[in-house]
Amino acid sequence: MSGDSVRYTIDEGRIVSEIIDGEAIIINLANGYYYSLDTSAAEIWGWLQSGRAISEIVSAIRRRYDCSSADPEAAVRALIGTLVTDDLVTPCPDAASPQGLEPLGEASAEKSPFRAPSLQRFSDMQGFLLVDPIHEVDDRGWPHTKPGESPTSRG
Amino acid sequence: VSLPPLTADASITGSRGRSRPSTYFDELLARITKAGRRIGFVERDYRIAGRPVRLRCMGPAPVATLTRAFAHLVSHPVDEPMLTVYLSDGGVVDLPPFPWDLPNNTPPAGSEQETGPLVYVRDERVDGLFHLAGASLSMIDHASRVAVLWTASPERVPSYERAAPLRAILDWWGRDHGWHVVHAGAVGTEKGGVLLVGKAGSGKSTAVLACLGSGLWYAGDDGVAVGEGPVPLVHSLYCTAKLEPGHLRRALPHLTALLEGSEESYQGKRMFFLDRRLSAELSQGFPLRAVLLPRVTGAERSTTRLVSSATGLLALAPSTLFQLPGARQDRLRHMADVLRRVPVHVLELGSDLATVAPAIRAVLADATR
Repeated sequence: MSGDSVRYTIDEGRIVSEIIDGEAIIINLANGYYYSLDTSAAEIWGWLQSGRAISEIVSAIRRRYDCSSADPEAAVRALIGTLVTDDLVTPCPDAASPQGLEPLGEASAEKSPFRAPSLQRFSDMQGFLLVDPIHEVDDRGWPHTKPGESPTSRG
Repeated sequence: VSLPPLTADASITGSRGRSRPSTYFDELLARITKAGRRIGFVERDYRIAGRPVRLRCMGPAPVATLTRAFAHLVSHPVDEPMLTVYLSDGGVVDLPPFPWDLPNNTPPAGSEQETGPLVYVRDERVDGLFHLAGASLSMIDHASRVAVLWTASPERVPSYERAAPLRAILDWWGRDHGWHVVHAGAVGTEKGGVLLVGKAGSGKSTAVLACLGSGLWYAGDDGVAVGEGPVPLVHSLYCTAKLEPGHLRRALPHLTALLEGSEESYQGKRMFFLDRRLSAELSQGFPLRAVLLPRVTGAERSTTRLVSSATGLLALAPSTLFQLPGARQDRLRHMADVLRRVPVHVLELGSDLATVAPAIRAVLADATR
């Protein structure tokens, strides 16, 4: 499978996000970082959420925007690289295309120039999380003992 | 008083069915009601977010420490409150054997009772939050509309629990009724008000307290409930405010009297119960008309400027979500929905704090025009 067809997963137990005013706000509940994505980055984030591959995203951008002075593929790869590095998305090479998806990105008669997506990272909540971490017990229920660990060794 | 010891009890070694949060809650509640039959309950009734709530305190200690913040919401008893909360402590009830899978870095109980890791548990019926160092446990049973706040010792209740009692329980309960607790202050009139949003040190409390005496009523300085709908309602939860005493004397000298009878809070701040001197200026809530993001500036006069809803969400959501666990995607969506419905302004706080209330009034006038 080529890199272009890789899809990405988002751990919804750890990552929450919302798109508002065309911007995406993403919060990593595990490490305290949070992010603001501008309009084009938010659009890409929305596509990643719905299971789109890089090739689909780049094609959609070419249909919708004037890319004469920009390289959308490099821009998309750079953004996704940051999202992977920051543990917001995880490559899922074996993921199939989700069923029922409409073709991405209707062609625009008047294309606006493509702007490279940008992301801002904020770390001011990290101290808060270090002082008051929240450990959420997952769906395995509780208690659960980590493999190889005896219950009495905990704590 | 310390946390219950970790033992090789069957509930820890893996009898998962016995150790579900709802099972644990049932066992805890049984212990509390049994002890209550022996020592009796002191009951207090309130209207919180417009709904009847009964606090059943085991003895006088929880009344003194955990009900003060609700003084402005006191109500007549009703036959069937929509939420009953048992306030108990380690002096009268021991917790059932502790089944949580504790993090490895768990500090000893009481080592720093204001901070430290939280363990959040849930199942289809129950939410629970254990503050390990502060040794307090909050649990709610959504099905029976009964909750428990247990603290290890009535003498050592963390200041956050005295200033903003039952915060987690009220947020979980609010989820059943279409509102959530957000990290914000709020002032307004019966026609409408504003949320003041920002992290610690942004000027929320200063701006809120600067409005006292202006005709804008106080609904909270650090946590309020906000509902859903076309015109979201703000519900006051607490009549407390917190400020560093030197800052209060310098910035708001006319409020210095609040320091009398104030209590020690966290990080050098003092905690005031505003019902003692300013009960006429306390609001139970109002329709939300705008969201303000205070910023301390070097200017003399306070001014406002419109910003995007996304800017508002960036200010409101992280600190709200990191304070309380549970349903965090839903809560983020709720905050975004609220911010789509009202304008968001930066409130540039001037050194002349008498200009804060007029600036807020101008925003309210614009929003309701």
